[in-house]
Amino acid sequence: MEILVCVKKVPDTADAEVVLKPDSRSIREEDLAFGINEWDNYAVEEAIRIKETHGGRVTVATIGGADSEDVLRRCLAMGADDAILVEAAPFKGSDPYGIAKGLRGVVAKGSYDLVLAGVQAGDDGFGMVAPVLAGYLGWAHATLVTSISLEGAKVAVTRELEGGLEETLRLALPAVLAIQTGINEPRYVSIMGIRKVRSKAIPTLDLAAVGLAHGEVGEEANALREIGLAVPPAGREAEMIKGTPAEVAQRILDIIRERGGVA
Amino acid sequence: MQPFREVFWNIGYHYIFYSLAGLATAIFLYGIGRRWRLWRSGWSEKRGGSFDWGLVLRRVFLNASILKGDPLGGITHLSIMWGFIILFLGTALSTIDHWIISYLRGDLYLAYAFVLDMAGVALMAGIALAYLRRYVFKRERMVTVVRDHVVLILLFFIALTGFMVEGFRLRAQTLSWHEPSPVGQWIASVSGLSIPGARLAHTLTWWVHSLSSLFFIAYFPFSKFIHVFAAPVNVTLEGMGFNPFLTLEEREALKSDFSFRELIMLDACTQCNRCTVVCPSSIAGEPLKPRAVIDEAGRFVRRKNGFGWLPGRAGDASLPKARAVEGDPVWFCTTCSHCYRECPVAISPMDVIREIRTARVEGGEDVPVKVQEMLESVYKFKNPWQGAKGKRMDWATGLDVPLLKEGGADSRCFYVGCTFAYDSRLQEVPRAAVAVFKAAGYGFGVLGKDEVCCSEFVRGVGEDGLFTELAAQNVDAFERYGVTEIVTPCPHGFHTFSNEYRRMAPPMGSRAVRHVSQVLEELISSGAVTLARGGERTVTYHDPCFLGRRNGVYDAPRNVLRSIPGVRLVEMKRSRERSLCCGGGGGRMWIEAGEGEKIAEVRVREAAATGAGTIVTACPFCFTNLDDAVKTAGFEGKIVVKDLTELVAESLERRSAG
Repeated sequence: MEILVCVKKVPDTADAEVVLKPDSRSIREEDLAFGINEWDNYAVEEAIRIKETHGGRVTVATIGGADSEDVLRRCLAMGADDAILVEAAPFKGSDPYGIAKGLRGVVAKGSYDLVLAGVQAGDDGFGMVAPVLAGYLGWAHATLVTSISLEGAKVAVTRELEGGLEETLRLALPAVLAIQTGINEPRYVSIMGIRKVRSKAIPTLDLAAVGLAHGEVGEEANALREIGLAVPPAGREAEMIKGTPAEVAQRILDIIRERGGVA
Repeated sequence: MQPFREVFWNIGYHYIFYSLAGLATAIFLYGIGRRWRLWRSGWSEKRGGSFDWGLVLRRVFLNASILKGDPLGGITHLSIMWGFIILFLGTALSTIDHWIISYLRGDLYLAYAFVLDMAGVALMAGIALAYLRRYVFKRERMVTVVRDHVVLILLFFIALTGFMVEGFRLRAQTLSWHEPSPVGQWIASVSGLSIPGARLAHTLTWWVHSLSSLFFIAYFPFSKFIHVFAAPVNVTLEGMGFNPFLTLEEREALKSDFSFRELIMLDACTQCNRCTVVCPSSIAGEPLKPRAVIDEAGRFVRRKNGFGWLPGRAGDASLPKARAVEGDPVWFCTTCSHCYRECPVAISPMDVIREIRTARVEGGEDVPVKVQEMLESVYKFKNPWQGAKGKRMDWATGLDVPLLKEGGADSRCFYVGCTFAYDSRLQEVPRAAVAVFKAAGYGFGVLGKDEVCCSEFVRGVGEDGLFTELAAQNVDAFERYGVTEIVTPCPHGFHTFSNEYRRMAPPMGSRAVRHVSQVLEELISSGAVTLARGGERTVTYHDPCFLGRRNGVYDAPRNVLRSIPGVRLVEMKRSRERSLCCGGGGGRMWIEAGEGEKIAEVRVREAAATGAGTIVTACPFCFTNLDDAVKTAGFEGKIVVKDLTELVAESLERRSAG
């Protein structure tokens, strides 16, 4: 089983205060911590588990700058066999279609049975790259995948639906699967583990190597036009509770009571 | 005729004895050789010091560390050990007398006979005491297994038959002198045997005594007796400044997974259980028993190496170190170091556990999810609490806290620490420290957003690689900001800066490192700050392990407390060197406790027993754990937890207010 996992380096914005730059097109990155996109981490772990059970190779790829190399090395330390870095400069400002075109070129250079990606990225949250890539490749795909089992030339997956429902699909290989968090418990990657793969060569692909010409990707080629970023205004429904912890707890309890949450 | 003893009197078939003696000695030498080869298969640590005679004399020859805290146990061991050594030397002397040069004659022989008789008495009395302690005094600490009985009974039997040989000989011989062997004489007189009967009994018991002695020699290297070699070697290594710190390059280059010292430790242990009795995790009823860890790891190593005796099996690679101790117990260690302090022969279960954690972390297997999240947070956010870098200075909001400048010189750095910087309750502590420093005119500055996790507990859970990276970042910041002195309110930072950084991040050099309690003591005693009387309060002080046991800072915080007017200090039953850990070290802040009582709850009950209304500590982890335990153990409203610095700042505030 040859598996390609598409990963992305993103800033962690869960607890950080995100500050917009004056152009309202990007955010200040100085105080943010960067790392592998959380969904992608599950995808890499899942690919390695499939390899450990069924054999084969796992390749990770990203479209990124030289600073994305640490994310790729981390994946190699987890157990991926190869990594590919696609030069990010021509993709500057690309929408998910542009990114998917670049990844299509990576897929074309190998003979993969399965392409895994995270459902979405923690920064822009489009959730589009995997389905669009499947479209370009003409492969079957499934999103929000919470379990994978290989059945010969087919793969059975569980998808997460709304309202706690799940559906099971059977797809013909090759296929693209967008992995949901919680599908597994990713292993810990130690610094010693990363050091062990520090001298492994990571090939860098330029635009031509992924079968694209200038102008096919990048902001000018986008199908989606980004108008601007904004911090959403505080909603009127939100009540900011102030006071001592005891007062806050009491108020929360009162609200739950008011809405019939507890008797 | 002058007094002497004829060797092989009344004994024939000497060749049988010598053949068996040769065989027993060969087995003995083979066993010791195998053991030595096993030890030498471990990687050897750098040693920092030279041979410490005093330590070896006290710990090995005088059993000082066994006597301490358990005088009867010490006397038991001393009796057996010295009885054994003297009898062994006596046999050796007699062999020399028989084969090389005859000198055991006359008064020298009489003295020899008397001393050996007394040594036999000491040995048997020691063994009797060992049994009294187990079955009459019922020492709870002691765990006795079959192999302990084998050792004790074998020694007792050899001593007993030795006396019988002597007694029957004295009965059968007509000597022109009186041999001063009281036990032998007594056996001769009560035996009631005729002379031919005594001769026969002598021959029989001589063979029984000799064969059991030869069995003992052959059995020695494969039994608990190996501690007779391993323990003194371990104590000697301890005195030689054993240094287990490895750079990442060195760790990568290791050919074996256990160190020389570790392998010796595992053989030096006699399972006395002192470690487990003081282990906070064991006290709270969690699955960790340091004694059992050493036992299991020891058996693992022997299995891995052909049971320590099969030839040609060196280090079975299919048995990885991560599996030396199965399951969860290794994740319960708080690295409080009490086990190591308590061990009479300088074994450190804590360090063995830490090294097994390292093997697990490096392999990425069996790392608890919470620990993994903590490590990933340190990797990504440079703190264990997933705190954004932009919020690292939030604790100082509204305070005018000086930032150190890059390229500065002779700077004193106030290293806040992650938990004090990000925990909303604990932010009060650095704020209090700043208030005291300013009142005292004590110059300082902070690294601000350039301060990263000290990573002490990162090393504690075994992630040496990440620890080394963060240590390098901190030391780099100290360099860039011209820091020559570091003051921190966190004992974990204090410990790792002053000990581990110096060995693992050499540029740390000689930068002075002080805990804030030491600074407070100095500021108060020099009169730089004066404290006013506030309300009367009775406090008890909880020693953070990394300040107290790890670094010997017991008095500074107590002196600070005593100098606060109105504060009365009372001690808990376990304090100072014997203090009970809060349960927060060694990454335990991120490891779920077991089902039962929490370690910190045990500690809070001890504090409550003193009648104190305030538990004072000087560590963010102790604070958090004790504060939680006050609530969960039902002492809310009766006991409050305070940081030492807060109490000082409060009495300052009252002064400025009044």
